[in-house]
Amino acid sequence: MQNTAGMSTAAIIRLDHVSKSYGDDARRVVALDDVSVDIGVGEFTAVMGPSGSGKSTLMHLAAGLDAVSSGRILIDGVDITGLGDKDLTELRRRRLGFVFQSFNLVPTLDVGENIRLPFLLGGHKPSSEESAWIDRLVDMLGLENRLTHRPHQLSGGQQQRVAIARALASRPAVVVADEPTGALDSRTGRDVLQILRGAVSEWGQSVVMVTHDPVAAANADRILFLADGRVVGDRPAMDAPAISATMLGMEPAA
Amino acid sequence: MNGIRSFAPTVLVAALGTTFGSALVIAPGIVTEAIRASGVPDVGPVREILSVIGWLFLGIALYVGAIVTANTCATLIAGQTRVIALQRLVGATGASIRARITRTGLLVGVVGGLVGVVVGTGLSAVFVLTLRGNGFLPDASYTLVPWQLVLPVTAVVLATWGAFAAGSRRVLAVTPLQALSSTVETSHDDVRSGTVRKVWAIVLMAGGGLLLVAGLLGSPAGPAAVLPAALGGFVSFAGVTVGATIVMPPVLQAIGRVGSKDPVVLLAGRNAMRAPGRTSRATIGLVIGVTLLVTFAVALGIMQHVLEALLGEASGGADPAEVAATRDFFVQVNAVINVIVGFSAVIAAVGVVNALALGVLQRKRELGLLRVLGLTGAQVRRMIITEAVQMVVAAVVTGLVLGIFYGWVGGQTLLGSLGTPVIPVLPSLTIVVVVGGVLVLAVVATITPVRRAMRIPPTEALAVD
Repeated sequence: MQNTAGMSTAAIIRLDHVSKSYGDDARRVVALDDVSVDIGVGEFTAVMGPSGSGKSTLMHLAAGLDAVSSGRILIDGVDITGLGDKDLTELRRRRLGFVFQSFNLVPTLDVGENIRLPFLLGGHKPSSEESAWIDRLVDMLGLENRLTHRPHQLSGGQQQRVAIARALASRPAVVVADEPTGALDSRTGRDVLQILRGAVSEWGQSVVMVTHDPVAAANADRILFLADGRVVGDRPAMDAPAISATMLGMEPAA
Repeated sequence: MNGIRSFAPTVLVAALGTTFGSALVIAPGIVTEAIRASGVPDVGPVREILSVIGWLFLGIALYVGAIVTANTCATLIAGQTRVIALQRLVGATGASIRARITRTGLLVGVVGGLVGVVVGTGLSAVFVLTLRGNGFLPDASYTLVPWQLVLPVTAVVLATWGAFAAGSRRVLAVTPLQALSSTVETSHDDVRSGTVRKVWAIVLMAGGGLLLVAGLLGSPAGPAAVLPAALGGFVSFAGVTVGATIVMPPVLQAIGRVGSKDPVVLLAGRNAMRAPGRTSRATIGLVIGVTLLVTFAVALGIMQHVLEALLGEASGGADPAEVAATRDFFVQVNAVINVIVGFSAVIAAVGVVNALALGVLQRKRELGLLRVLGLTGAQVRRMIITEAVQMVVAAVVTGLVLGIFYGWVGGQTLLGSLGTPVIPVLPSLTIVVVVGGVLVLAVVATITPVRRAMRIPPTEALAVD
């Protein structure tokens, strides 16, 4: 398989010959090996692969959380590879939303404050329009009675809903989700995926989700398969059994 | 969790305590030998008095040290909850883990005690050599290693051991199940510790308060009114320290609100209230130090003021030489007290440093998360520094209020019968010492935690442990 995945016309995140390696010259571990891929606007993209395939590295780099060893990354048209800490932090705050496996809410803030955290960190109050949007999200995710609760008073599913509301609150260019259903039971996991799917279908939110769960990936419009630091498959939407079969087919022959 | 290394911050506290104790034990001997060498025959009482004063201040330092040690121990244990839970899961009983930690406490006390006694004796030797060199001390033989050195070492070992026994109670609350849960953050209310303690604190504060009022009411009658007042001050202040978890949280909360429109300040303030009990205990040592400093300073300031007023009345115009002499005397007494009490404050400062440093270590993921969501490295630095400043300011404000009050009561009860109006005076030396010390502390306390926090990459938030 060729290592250059298909380029769609409009890209929200563009990886251009990106490599990432760790360690010194003596023992170098290549986590990502010359990957070029575009994440499309308004698409739900799933990134799949066995552990050690480089999917986490891909996400860290694509979200500006780690520096590339070589290559270029553009987020919403901005080349991030040369940005300093301050600019990069600001870009994350304005253009990206994050959802994590372990929810990662700030335990000392209540639900309302957690949802508004991106605004809070930016040092400005949400405008009336932004507030209306947040209210709509809160309403949609069924959190209106939880706003004054602390994260530890909520169930896992509720915490993940808060995290999604936080990720969507600033209307980011793209939401990056890292195994968002990994710590949830299958039922609440399905709810969370439906919320993300809904955001893509209803208002064209771009979402990238790293997962190893074929059921989760089955919600995506497009699935990227990674192995040994390379993109080894780039498919349109598939159902879970087909994804499982593809994964099995990619098991190294050795 | 078992080695002495994981409790390294507590060794420092034990060593500081013994250094101070050794100096206090060696000093009276040196002073009496110096007096004897200058030809005064009967020096027994001088030595006795100096020893009693020394032990009083050593007792305060040990108490502060024990609070710091117990709190650091409890904080370290809180950060190791999962490891302990895992040990519980594979079969260790809570009691056996606690016994092991307590034994480590004994070792910490012994190691810290030995280091401290060597440092304390060494410093005393340097001190004596210098003073003899410049002719301040007569040329006689001095005992640098009196048998009494055993006493501070023993006291520190026992205090450290006891503090570990108290601090390790937390282990018993860890359940084997906590090893399995994926969520990191556990309970938020660590203040619940004991209604007995609360009752004691309130009883002591109320009882002490009554004695203080009695002293004030009796002050026109004569200087003996200072006795119930002094007892009342001691008892009520003991109540404040025992009830640190009642007294400090409201102060911390109020100070955390100052400037909380700024997101960094808001996050810092909330963090101080994450474990209010822990923060309260980390700051109470500093409160003790500042209160003592200010109490003595205000009482001395009032005495000086009243004395100058009386001198002025008596001679119908004060003799400038006499006024200057009294002023000098009070400045010197105040300086000596600053040094002696300051040592407790240094030990307390270690407690603040420990609380901050451990706080950073134990919320790496959260700091990583804030970086991901849009907090810059510079803002992280400012957040940690703000936390330190909030803790230190809370302690200083509480100490100032208490100290000015106690000092005023002391001055009023002792000198109220003279009819001169007694207003609290805060000597400038004390202001310089407190403000300067606090600034230095806030800076020093944050160096390591800030460096650690700045090194946490955003990806820390995504790590699944």
